Amino acid sequence: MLLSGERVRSRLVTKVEEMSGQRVLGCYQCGKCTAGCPMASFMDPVPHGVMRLLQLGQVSRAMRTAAVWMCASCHSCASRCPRGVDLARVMESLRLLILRGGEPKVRPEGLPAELLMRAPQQALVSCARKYQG
Amino acid sequence: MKVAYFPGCSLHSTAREYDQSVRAVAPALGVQLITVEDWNCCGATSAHSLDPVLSLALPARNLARAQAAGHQVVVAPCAACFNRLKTALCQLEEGGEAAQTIQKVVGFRFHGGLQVKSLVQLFWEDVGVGAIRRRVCRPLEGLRVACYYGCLLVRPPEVAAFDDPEHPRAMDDLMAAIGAEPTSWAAATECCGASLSLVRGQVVERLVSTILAWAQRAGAEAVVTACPLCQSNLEMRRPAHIKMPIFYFTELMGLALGLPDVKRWMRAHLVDPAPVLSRFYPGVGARRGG
Repeated sequence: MLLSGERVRSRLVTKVEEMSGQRVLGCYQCGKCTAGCPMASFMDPVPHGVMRLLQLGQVSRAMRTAAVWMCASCHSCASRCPRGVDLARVMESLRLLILRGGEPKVRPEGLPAELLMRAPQQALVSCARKYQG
Repeated sequence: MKVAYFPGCSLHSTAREYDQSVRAVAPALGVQLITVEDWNCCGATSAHSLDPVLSLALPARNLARAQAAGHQVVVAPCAACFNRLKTALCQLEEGGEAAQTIQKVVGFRFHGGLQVKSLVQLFWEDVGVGAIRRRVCRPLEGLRVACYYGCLLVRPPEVAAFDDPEHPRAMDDLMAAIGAEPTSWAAATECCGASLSLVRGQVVERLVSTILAWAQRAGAEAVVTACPLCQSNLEMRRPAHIKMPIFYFTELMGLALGLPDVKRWMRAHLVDPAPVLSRFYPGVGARRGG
């Protein structure tokens, strides 16, 4: 990974900060977000690893992580962060950057009909907002 | 006590028994629920919405309707609805450009003095544990329950501003008031996976399996929740060998208060509650898919 001042403070990093309202350099990598994240075992890199990528200007790599889609916005990370970084909002800004650039991640017509019948409406609305933008 | 009632979409579909039990229990505790007229979707999701106009105008319109009807308190049984309505209220109270935009989009002027509460909060803070205990006629003595708060009832703490975000007690107190025994357990504020249930079912199965295993380890016979999505995920995505019913807190309160429609609510459950509840209410049981 070749680092430069230009890359670390790239236009995309600024965009993520603008959209999320969070400063990526606010994170001091304590890992508390990862320790409490219910999804961390399904992520690689884990939440504070995604923050580290952003700190190093690697926004495109961060956008390709499973963490972005696995984040359920449960706010465990944000409510425990000693630096007050709202990681759920950072994850959402990454999702939006992806969704605005192309195809929706999930199409409702592709979901099993039986599941759609049984799932609460709030799951459908939330799912559509998360995966379609 | 008169409050504006925001049922939300899930209470009109998969969580009908939550709506029915809320509408029965509240009046029995002296709370008159007046449905927000012409209410609309709250937006259903918290961080999945960075655009303040899109994400806050929807819930703010409901607050505008409640304000126009002269209400001081809006109550939402669903944790996600509570989160969205409260977030909109916080933004309106904070003022600034976003608040101006929201009011312009919705077409109303926010006067202030409005409160948004979850139903757990209303029962805990305004009705009070003592008043509930006095009305119990069928105490659920010896029923060991794990109170499951999930994410949005207490988080983010600056929005919910209610109870302890890491170690909440409100639902435990309500359950103790109706004679049940709330257990101390490790997964009370863990996430159930929310809408990942639709696209990553196996992930949610793993989360739910862990949550229910913690409940079993703590000696619970049932889990109690206040969120339609938690209830659905915990019953639908459970491992086949765990047959632990997941109740809305209002269902158990209705049972303890001796309300007549309890059997009707219990029929909607995917896990038959009869093995756990028949000692309090003979003949109660589930009708699959009902």
